[in-house]
Amino acid sequence: MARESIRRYSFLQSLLLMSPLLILLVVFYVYPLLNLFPTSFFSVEGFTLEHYERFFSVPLYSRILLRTVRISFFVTVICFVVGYPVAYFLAELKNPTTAGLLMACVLLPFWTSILVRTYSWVVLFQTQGLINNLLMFFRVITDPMNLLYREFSVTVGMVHVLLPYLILPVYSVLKNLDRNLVRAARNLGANPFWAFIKIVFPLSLPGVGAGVMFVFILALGFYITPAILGGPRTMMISTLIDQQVNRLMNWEFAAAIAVVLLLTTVGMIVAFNKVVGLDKIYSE
Amino acid sequence: MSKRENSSHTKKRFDIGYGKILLGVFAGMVFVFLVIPSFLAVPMSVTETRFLVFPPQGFTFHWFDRFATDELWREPALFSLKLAILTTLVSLILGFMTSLALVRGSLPGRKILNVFLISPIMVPVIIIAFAVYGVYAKLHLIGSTVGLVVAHSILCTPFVILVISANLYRFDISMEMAARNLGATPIKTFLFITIPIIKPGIIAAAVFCFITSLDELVIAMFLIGTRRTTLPIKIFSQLQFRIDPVVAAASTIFIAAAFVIVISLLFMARGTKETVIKEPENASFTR
Repeated sequence: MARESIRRYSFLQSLLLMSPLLILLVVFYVYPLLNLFPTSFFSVEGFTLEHYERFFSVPLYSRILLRTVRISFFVTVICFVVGYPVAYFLAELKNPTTAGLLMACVLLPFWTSILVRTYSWVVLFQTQGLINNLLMFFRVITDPMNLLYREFSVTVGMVHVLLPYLILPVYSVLKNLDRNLVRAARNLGANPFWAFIKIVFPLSLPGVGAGVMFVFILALGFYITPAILGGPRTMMISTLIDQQVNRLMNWEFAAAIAVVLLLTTVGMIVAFNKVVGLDKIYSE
Repeated sequence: MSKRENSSHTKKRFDIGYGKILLGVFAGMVFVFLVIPSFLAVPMSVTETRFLVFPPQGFTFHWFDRFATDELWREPALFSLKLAILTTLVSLILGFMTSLALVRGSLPGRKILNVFLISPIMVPVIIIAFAVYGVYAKLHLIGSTVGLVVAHSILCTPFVILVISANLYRFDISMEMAARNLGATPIKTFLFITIPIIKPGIIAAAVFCFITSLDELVIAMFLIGTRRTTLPIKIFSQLQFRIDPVVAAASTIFIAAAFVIVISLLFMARGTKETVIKEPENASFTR
């Protein structure tokens, strides 16, 4: 059905319908974000770039920046490697009850508190925790390992939170894939492996692109997981902003870091939109 | 010749079966990985020890009792509940109006508008929290309920718009036309035709807003001020200092509530074409 036929509000009417939300967003979202820019360029003497210089020149901050990118990259790669087969498995399921039940497993994290889930990893990873006790019981290790407050625990926690964001778009693309294309490939002599490589995988790339970029963008600005599962030595950009604002009261510097992170995110959203087309998620 | 063909055929079938089993085992492990952390709090909440351990020792409902009676837990819980209800209402109304305009209006620059309206779930929450904090400080909105509801609604409206506009796109407009043709007023048509048809979407969006607000930590932490606290802030501060089994009890209640909501959603969605399980797919772009 042509969408044009549904449209029936005039420009003015549509604007009127949207205006409450638009006003709210402009006043309490756009303006505050834009306000970060003047804050970040300000010091006692007026205009300055010192906060940006500081962020990019002090080794501690460069390390945090690098760590944030590194962790986000690994989280994205792991989410893809782990999530793609799961999405494929879900899309291949024939029985709707099983599929629904397993889909509920993927969606369950959305329904339960992120604090609770992150906290569960503390319980699993701590020195007297389940994983150490199990490993010691089976004599894999003799002394408890230090798993918590390291990049390892942050990565595991983030993969757990972000995995559904990769599985869902990939699943959605695979599910709507035209099966006849696979049949045609098989008919023409491709074995299942080559049919997958040549047909299924390339056609699933839009879903993969959406999932991967989404996971990466969310990972860059993640706060709760690094705050709980990462110690002071595994600080990420978001926890650095929090520290600068709430502990050190260093607003101007925090604003500069926020601007860097914000511009990176906006840049990625624009790229995301170019590659995947964000508006596609609307009509689906 | 025929023998060779035959053997290669059986071999191929064996390969597929083997691959499928491997895939199934792998997927099973991932499902366990996804689900376990959500449930771990349940057994831990009944431990008799004064700190959290796994496996739990003994059995007691003491921590649930404390959660329900201790003012230090009850007040933040009730305040969070209030915030979540108000946020859900505000985001649903604003998001619904915007979705109507997006789907049925003639708007130039719709693509850019779409991206802008969805962007709050992609901009890091800590940046929104910090930025809004600066503006609220000037407007004396720190610590006010209105301020928190507005900030949470900014985070929630993208879900509402995603889910409801997807529902409206699939909506068969001839239903409304038929109602109008049969003499219904526009308001009646809206209340008795439009709303019931997209009800599953509205419910899914409402649940999403409710849970997002109830579980929101970062924005609340920046904007709450000093007089009050929300449940996530309370849990978070507990996690950083001493770990009390009340946290596990609170989590268990949270999980139980989520389950009740999902199951009642499944019941409500029965008979409609949409399955609720599929609904959040549209809103997969969370947080």
